[in-house]
Amino acid sequence: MIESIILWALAIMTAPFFSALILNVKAFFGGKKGPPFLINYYTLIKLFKKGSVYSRSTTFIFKLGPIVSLSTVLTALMFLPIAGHTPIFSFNGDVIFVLYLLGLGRFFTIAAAMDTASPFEGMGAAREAFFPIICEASMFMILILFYRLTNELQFSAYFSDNNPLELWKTAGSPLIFIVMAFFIILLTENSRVPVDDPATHLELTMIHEVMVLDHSGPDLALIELGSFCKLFLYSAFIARLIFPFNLENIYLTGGVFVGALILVYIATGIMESVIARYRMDKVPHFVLTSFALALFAIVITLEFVK
Amino acid sequence: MVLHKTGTRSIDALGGLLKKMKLTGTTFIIGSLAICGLPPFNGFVSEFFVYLGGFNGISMNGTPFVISLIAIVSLAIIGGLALACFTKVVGVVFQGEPRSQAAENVNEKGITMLIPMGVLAVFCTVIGIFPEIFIRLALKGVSTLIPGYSQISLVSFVETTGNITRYSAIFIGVLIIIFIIRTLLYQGKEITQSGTWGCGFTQPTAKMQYTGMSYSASILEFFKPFAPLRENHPAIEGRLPEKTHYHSHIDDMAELHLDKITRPIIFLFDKLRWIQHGDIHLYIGYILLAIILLLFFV
Repeated sequence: MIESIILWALAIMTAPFFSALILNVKAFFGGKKGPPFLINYYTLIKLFKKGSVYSRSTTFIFKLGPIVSLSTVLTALMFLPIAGHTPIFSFNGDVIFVLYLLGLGRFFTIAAAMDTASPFEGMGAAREAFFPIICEASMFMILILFYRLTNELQFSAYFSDNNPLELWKTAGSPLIFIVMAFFIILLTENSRVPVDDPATHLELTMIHEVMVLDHSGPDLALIELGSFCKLFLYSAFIARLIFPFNLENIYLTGGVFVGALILVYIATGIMESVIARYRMDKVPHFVLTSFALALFAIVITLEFVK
Repeated sequence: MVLHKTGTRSIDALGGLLKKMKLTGTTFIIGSLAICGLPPFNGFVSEFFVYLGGFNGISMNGTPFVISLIAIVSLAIIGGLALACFTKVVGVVFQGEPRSQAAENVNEKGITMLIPMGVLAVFCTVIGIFPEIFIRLALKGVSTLIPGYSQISLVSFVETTGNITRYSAIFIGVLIIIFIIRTLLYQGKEITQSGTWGCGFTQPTAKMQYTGMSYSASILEFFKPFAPLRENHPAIEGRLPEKTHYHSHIDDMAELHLDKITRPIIFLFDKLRWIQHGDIHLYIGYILLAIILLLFFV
């Protein structure tokens, strides 16, 4: 239990560091010198020190948005088996609870964006409401597959101890699809290229960035921290799937898990460096690919996993 | 309440009501969260049990796999659509700036209308956090429907509701802690009020806000086969374009197709109208006739 809590705190503390990796990979591909690895901490501290400017159009919902979105992510992390260790909490159906908790965070992010009366933020909000519909469908598709393989509805049954290895043993080839589907969901849910470009300059083409345009100071820092942690959450799933082993030594397992995690972040960085953002009306097709992959995986397992 | 105070049913004519109608707005938001099935409100409890049922269907051999699969995935999509729908209503009606005079001059009066809304909102939250008592009541109701159901053990239900209570409480705890941290962070900080960032445009008007129609446009585009959109919008042409207008209407698929079935039936019943003539003596005659006929059959 204590170990789980320490791991949880560690995950929150290190999440900004991992995100800086993506920036460095992008800088490497661009032939530039990347920012320091602690850049995100500097940004957070800078924002925490500042005051805030609020739009006259906003209400209390606008201030509630960052608080709710961060606390949903932090609560969700409590159910995540970090490095294969048992999570702080776990119960039958916690997967559904976590997915809906993240939905609650999204509701408030959108509501906070709509609160500003800005046409751009409305645009971002509309996109944020649209793409996750498909994401959620493919997420549940993956869940169905996991449920068929394990007969359980909790994260610890999929990702902790030797469970991921068991998954590979029973259904190895469909899991390759699942890893790809997960990666697409990661890119969509965390507003990365090719769904959204976090580094873009034009408000018209943003999704997540445009929704937080009017937030400033500590509020913005809470949002940033939340999105670092969310990216960590999704990356940890994939890291656990690509590295399913549970070694004797907890430090060794942790070390290798961090290695796998870095791999996922670097893959995200490479993805962002080599392809451009899709046109907005093409994005649903891209997200639907994850749904199709998950469906294929289920169809494959239908025959040989009884 | 909103209709009563503004006199309009068009959400695109509203906006910014939350500032003038705090209680109405807040209760509406709580209701929306509950409808979207988000924790910690009552909608989540029901949705959670439906999901559990769907997943249990997979492990049982009785139900075909495809049915469970469709049930779960459509529930997920409906959840997403509900979220999109209610963020739209909340965002367009209650947030932002008022889009019309009617929306600007609202006030919140009429305690008889406020109390029921408040009570409902409180119940949404209470059921969401402590579902156990209510689940017990519901199961009692179920057991009267089918005799065999009374034997269902309550253990698994109580366990699940206990979990929902515990983890909702933990979430609320995290929320409160972060709220306190945020308050501490803002201590002694300078907080200024200003206009919304207009991306360099200096004279934004309330008309430029995202409306309900533009909010749902991309979702409608995607679901076009299920929700055909009719638009009436003369194109803007020439150097000095004439005044144009925009009108849209979404056809309800179910309504369109059901009409094909219901129309002949209504037509048939229209022809039988003469039976209903309003003469009470003949009505008593009908009853008598029915009783006599029944005597022959029973």
